[in-house]
Amino acid sequence: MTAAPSTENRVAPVGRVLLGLAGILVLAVAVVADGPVRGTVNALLTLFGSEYLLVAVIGLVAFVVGVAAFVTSREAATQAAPPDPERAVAVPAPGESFDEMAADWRCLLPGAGREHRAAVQERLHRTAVETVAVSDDCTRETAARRVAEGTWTADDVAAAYLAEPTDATDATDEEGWFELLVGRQTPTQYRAERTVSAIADVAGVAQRDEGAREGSEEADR
Amino acid sequence: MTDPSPTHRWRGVLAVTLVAGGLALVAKRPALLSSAVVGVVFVAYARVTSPPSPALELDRRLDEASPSHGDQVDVRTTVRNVGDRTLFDLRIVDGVPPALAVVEGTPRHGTVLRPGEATTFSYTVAARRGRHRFEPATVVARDVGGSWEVEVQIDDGTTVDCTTDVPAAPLRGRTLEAVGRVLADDSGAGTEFHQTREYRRGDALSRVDWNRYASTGDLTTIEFRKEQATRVILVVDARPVAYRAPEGDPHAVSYAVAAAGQLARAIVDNRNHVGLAAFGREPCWLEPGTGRNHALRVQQRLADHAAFGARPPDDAPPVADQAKALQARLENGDQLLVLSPLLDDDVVETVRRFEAEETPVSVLSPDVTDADGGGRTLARIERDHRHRTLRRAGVRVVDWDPERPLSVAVTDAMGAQQ
Repeated sequence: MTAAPSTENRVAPVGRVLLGLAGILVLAVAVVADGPVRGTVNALLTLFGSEYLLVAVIGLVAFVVGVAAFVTSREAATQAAPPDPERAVAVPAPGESFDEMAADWRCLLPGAGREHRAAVQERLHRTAVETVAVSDDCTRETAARRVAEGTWTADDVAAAYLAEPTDATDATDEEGWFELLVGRQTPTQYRAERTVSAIADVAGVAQRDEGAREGSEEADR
Repeated sequence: MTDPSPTHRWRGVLAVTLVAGGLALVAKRPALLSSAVVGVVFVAYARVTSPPSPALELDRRLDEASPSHGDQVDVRTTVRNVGDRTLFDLRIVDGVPPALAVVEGTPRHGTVLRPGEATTFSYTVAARRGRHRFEPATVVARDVGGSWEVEVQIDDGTTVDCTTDVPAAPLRGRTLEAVGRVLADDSGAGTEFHQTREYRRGDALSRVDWNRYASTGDLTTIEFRKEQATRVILVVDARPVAYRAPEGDPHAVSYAVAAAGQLARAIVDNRNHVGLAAFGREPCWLEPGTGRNHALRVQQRLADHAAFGARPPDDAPPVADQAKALQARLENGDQLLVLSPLLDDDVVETVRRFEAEETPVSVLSPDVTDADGGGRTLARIERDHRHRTLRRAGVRVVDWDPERPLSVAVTDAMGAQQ
């Protein structure tokens, strides 16, 4: 396929050349017919009192305009921004929003973070109940009871996290706070990941382990 | 082509020239004033030069236009200056399909092109399942001084087709009064055995069960299941939530769009009618039709319509509203084939509502979850639950791992159903 030039672009240079010629013509007139020019210069000399002062004022004006042009030059410079086609278009991975929600710093706030923590807990609770109902071939009510009693998994953290409907403010979870202190995860994130692993075990979903994942990322680099 | 725009790249030189000239006048330094003249020349030159007006032609060649999933495809792109002026500063960025990644070389190229001259550059992309159309190449042309630039887009419609033929679409048994390949529940013209019954006068001799007559002496007639045409609406889930993928992989919408094209072909090949709709940023509707030309129309719509854009939309109307609009267009006897990664509950609820309103629905679900820990594992488990919910509601669900050809997933699912 072809991209053709626009007619406007072809007309523009003619105007520029004419403008340039007009400038040269004015300069030539000023040099050759010095009468009117001399008159103007004499008037300005009378106004400023000395030749140096006139030249200095012109110099100062040029200096000020130059500084202004310099200051604004960075913002004024424009350049086309071509696309970056090397990589496939970036989209979030499925479940990434859940990870972001669990890692949100607002989950750390004792009062204001309640809503965030509850949203994480609620989603995991719903999935755990559904998973237990399927794996144990029982009703949702029975599955919900097992989750509430904490008997659905051998993981103490996951069982405790979904066992009671109270807001888990993480105050009693030393392991969770340790994770936070060493800068790895928020307590909510820590508990959510343990719970997801427990649900995956019950559901029989194989997870790629962390070591393998880091290894493959290293290899990708 | 965009309008020429000034780059203002010589503005710094203008500033230095004015400052130097001003200081020279104030401090009475003739040498400094002379040096400022150099700057004046540069600035004047930048002002006098005209914007470039590129006339370009693009030719893109692939070493394999129909590669297999995972193959590497060499792309050779040639750009020719078909204008009558030299293009002094040409920067070309080829429009690699958004779902594909470059694995070798670079799709960028910078050059000078005299009139009639061409330049060629090449790079390699990794093919992924789907039909991937190249986007227009972006060319930025600057004048010799770099003070003007023009951006041009050139396209030649190259497509990498990494799909295979699908023998049949996973449909439900609702039919029209026309011969097709969907099995109806009653007897009639067809090839699949349905039942035998007592011979009646007038039955064709070719339908008599002669084996049975030979062994028992009973005269019976074989009946076949009637094969009739059906109207299928392919509905692609292209809402923002469907634009999901593990890093570097094509997203679910790109798989769904490719699959819709393949299924449309299979549906018309089996003498059925196919239409197209979308849940996404913009309403999309193509009236059902049949024949190869109609299948091409479906594929064209999938390639061109904004609803199936390669980049995720910021927003989309609620799926319930879009479903209502779709329901209003359906005729009695239509069935839906929804292509969705099933990454949220809204689409499940929508499908169940169609079923409740007696519109049979089948779902083809490309799996883009990777169970890579945390939320990603949760997404896979939730998706499994959505499959189960739909199957409990009587919906036919085909789970498609895009690492496998679509034909295999469909054939397996149809085999399992029988």
